[in-house]
Amino acid sequence: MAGTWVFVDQRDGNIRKVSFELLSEAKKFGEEVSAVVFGKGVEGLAPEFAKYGADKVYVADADVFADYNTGAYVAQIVAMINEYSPNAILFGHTINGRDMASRLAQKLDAGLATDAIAAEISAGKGVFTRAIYAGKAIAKVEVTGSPVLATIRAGVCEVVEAAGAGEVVKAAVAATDADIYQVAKNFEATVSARPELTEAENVVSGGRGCKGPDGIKVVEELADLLGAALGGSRASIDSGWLGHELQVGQTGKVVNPNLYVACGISGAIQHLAGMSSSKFIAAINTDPEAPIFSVADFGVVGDLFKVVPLLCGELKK
Amino acid sequence: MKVLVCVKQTFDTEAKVELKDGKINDAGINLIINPYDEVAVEGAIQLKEKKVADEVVVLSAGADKALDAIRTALAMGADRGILVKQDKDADEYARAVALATAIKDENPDLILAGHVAADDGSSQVPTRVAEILGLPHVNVITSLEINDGVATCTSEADGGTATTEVKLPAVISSQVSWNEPRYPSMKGIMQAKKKKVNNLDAVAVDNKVNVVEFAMPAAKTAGIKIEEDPDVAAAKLGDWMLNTVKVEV
Amino acid sequence: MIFGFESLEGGYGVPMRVVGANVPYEWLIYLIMFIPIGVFLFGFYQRIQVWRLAKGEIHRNDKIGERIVSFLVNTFLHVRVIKKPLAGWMHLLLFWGFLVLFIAAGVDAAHNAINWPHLEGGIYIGLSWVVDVLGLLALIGIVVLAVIRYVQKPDRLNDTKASDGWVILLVLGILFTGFVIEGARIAAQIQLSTTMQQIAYEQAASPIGWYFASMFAGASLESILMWHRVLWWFHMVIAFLFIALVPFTKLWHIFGAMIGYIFRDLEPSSCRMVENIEEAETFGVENIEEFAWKDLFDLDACTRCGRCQEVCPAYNTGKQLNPKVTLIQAMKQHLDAKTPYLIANKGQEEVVEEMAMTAEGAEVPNPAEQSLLYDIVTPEVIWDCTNCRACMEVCPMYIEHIPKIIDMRRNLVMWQGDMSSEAQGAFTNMERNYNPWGVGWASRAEWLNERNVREMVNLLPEDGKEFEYLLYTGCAVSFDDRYKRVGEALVKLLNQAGVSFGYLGTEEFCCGDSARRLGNEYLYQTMAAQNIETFNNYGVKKIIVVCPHGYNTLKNEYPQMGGEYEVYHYTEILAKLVAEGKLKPSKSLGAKISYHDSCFLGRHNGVYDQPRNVIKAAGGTIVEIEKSKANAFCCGAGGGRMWLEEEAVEGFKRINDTRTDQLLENNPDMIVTNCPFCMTMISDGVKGANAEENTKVFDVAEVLWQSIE
Repeated sequence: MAGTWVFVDQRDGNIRKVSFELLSEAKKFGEEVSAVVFGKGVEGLAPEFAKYGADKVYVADADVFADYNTGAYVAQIVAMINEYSPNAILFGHTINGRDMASRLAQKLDAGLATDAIAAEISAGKGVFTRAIYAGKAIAKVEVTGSPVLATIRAGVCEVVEAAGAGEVVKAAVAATDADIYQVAKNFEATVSARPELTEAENVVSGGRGCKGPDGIKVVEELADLLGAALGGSRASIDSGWLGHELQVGQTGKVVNPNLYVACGISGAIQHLAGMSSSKFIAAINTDPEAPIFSVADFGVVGDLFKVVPLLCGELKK
Repeated sequence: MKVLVCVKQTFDTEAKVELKDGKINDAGINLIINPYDEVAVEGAIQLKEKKVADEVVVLSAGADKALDAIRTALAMGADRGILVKQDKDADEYARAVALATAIKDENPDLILAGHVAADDGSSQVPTRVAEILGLPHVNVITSLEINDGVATCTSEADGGTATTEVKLPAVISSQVSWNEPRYPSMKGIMQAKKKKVNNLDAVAVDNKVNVVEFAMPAAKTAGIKIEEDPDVAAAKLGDWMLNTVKVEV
Repeated sequence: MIFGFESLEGGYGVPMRVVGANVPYEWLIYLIMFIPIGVFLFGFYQRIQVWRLAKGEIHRNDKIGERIVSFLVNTFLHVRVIKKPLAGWMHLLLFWGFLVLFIAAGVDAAHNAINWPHLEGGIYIGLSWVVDVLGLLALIGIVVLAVIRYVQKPDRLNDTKASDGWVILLVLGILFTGFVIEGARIAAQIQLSTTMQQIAYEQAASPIGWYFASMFAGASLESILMWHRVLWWFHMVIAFLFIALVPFTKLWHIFGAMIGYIFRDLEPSSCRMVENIEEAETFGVENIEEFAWKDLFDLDACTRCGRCQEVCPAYNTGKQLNPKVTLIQAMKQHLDAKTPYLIANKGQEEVVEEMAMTAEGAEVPNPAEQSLLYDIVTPEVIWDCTNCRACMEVCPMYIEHIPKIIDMRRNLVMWQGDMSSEAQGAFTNMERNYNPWGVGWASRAEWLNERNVREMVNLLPEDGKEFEYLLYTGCAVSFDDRYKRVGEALVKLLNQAGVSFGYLGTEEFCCGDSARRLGNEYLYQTMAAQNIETFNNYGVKKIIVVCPHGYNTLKNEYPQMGGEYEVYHYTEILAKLVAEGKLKPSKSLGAKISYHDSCFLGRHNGVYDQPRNVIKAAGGTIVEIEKSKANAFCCGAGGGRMWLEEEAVEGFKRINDTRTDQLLENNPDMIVTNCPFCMTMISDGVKGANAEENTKVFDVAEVLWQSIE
């Protein structure tokens, strides 16, 4: 058996943080841990994975893998599974990760646990904890088979540096252009100097209390000071103060940062579903009864227009 | 062109979720069309209104009650329904097999579904259906255009927005920002009563994923809440961020 | 003497008047008069034919006594009309003057034609004096009204048309020529009289005519007699013209009003019920003929006085809705244009098609093909209304604006499926979680724990103890964080006063007001039926309601579905408890307060004093603002608009900001409301005006609790 594989989520050589989180997590299962990376010119990334404990780095390097596409990626990994028989494959629960894992699972007639927030993997069996009903309940599910397949939510596992051998194994390319059925026409990266919401260490969000673009500016200042991602509640998205991609909540992004700062957000269930699993939560709101305070570790009853600029001053000291 | 939309009946997103005898208690819960699927239904009806599609079939796999979800989609403007009766504990694999079996008989040009269900949140089924049917798929779309048998989709991607083309027939799954589903009018509800819904039984397959246990999440407890002058409050909050959270500035 | 020519004699021995003297062929009048009467009757018949086209059902043949009283006090005392004092009193003068002159002319004519006994002596002098003076007052009335329209030019009369001027001229002409004829007659009689006594009484009987007689001073008898004859005929012609024109011009309001006073809506403020909605085949009004006859009648009755426009919160904040112009008059013009098609349509479809064919090519759109909802009234107008009832409160014709708006909303929502996504959201929330906020229904009673008042409440599904009153808090107390505190204050007050009350908690549903007033009658009836069933299961007899929308709905609308209870607004109960000494304020607030009358407690239900009494008992000093009580300006949230976005129109503020400015006029310490929607709207307004520091927004219950706690 070839231990636990972590499928690396990368675009143009930029590796998503969740891949490192998964390598660190996979180490806990005591098996050989391998990073699996597909792309064009990605061999040089191998040392990155070794830093987080990858014993092996399987590389499939070819033009056909230049951009993520389900058909070619699934064809390739199926061939590699047949050749190397991994015990388990973990994917980040990113858009690409769940896309590939789902198609792969069906191709293998196998089960798959998606969006897991905790994992225990032993030979031929994985037990995963999943948040269901937008976090209102928890289900522990068992996936059997070989390999065990799962996607893991970003931010739930810690990144721990650990030296690994990082032995590069070049996989035979088993996919051709004929496997590509989605023609990528264009990719527009979200242009922002700030980190992405689901990847960020800290998130600062603005809600109805911002009252308008001026209030968002106040919140942005704090976000930039903390090097945080910027997010918003539905109210500020619907009002057009922030783009749709920045919505935190049940119908937006689910975030798990170390620190979440809610500014002028009352904390509707819809919003709490997207951020209540953050490690630390701070809230600033004028209404002392706002539900956000029931999940906040540190709540300030006050006007964000006054408190946030003063807070920035404090942090700069 | 025939469009088929897969809908799942889920708990109302505001429902209070509780356990009873170790299982999710569904007593007193209002059931709705999964909001992501509702967007897919609206998308299909809009294709029909634009004369791109000429028939919209709505398909659901679930308990008898799932008929209500189909009726709602019919009231919105879908033409007919198919209900595949299936145990509510079916997993994503069994669900996909049941749906794909029904879809094969319909042979639609386009299959739409929500990219995720609000209840189990697993986001697997549309992709699995595509794999069973041997069709291409695109997930999490926010817009869709169809010309000469090719679907051009804008979709959410990690770190940006992607534009992708696929040849039809294909499976396409929707994000909620694609459109705003309509509220069925009484006219629609009355017409829906006359629309046909076929009943089928699901192919019996075993689940691949088994639930070991259900639990309630640990209640997040409220921490400190202060109500003081802005400068004092800001100082205390700043201190907490620097010394407890240990943020780096 | 019918075919004879009676010459004008001098003064008579006994004070009296001979009618028709000096006018050759005067008897022709008795034949000619059938022309204007005929035209009038034909026009009247035509109007009735139009109303008969109405397909909607309405019942206005109950409460005969009340209807007669309404007719009498509104017609003869102008109780509604004089609420606008200057124009109202002037109109009253015009009305009485015209009426009495018409009767006098009729009596004279009858006397002449069928030999009614002459009025003679003192009675003649007295009655003639009265008629003369009233004639002058009518003349003053029409002149002042003309001055208001053409000199003062209030905004409410901003659609003055040429026909308005012609009607004024006609009335003025009739009154004025009447006096000139009288003057000529008196002048001639003076010349013909032989003794002073014969003419002396004329001064007493016709003081105004006497004055007009001086116009003819120095004229020859011949010319006076000629002027008299000519003017007499002229006067008769324009008077007959007046009669003939009534059904075809704004003069119709004379009859429109009187009929309207009889058939006006006497029900307590409520929406019209849709019976058997499950079996309905259409919903609301899509085409103008689908209204009820009273609605079409209302369109005819409107005189464009613009009082509705003047008070409308939508119009006053620059919205498309103007109850006079873009609602009633737009529909009136459409009805008039469509009438020929409708009348033809009653016969056969082909005729309509034919008419439509001939109308084609013309630049004017074919009224039979114009859409009432999209071309005539427009959805913007239909959705602008806050159901505040200000228009209906001031309309001197008792035109029912709100039911028409709601009927059209019903069609937009239940038939066209055309509504904003915010409205959809509110409906979906009510369907799934029985409250427009959309918070899970299972948490409806959680506010009791959050506010720490669970122990004070007999929560019926759990405690199930006996109770006298049901406390129906409505959705806001359960789900609006600000209003939970009002629920808390009220529970504490009731508890302290020892009132026995029960609360339904999760078994309580939304009253349905927002759904109904947004046009979703089906959803409303679902909510109402469920609540009524629950109330009956618990044997509810008396209900205390917190939200005025729920109060109005439970009190005035649930009876339509068989839910008959004694319904009180909580301010009524608090006022009673304070008056009975069961609640004793111990400390005085000493605050200067602007009190905001919510539309549904105030205008819709006339509860103005009880909340004020409670505030006064708590030691608050209410400084009344200009627009209060029945004249209060809406906060903008009624009629389901609570759930819809309001975009400010350029050059105007939003409705809530406009109202807040009015409430802040006296720099109060507090603004006190009685409604959760008003609380939200006005709190936003106060924040927007940056007045939060000096002016706090409270509810009546909180104010009283602050003075007791």
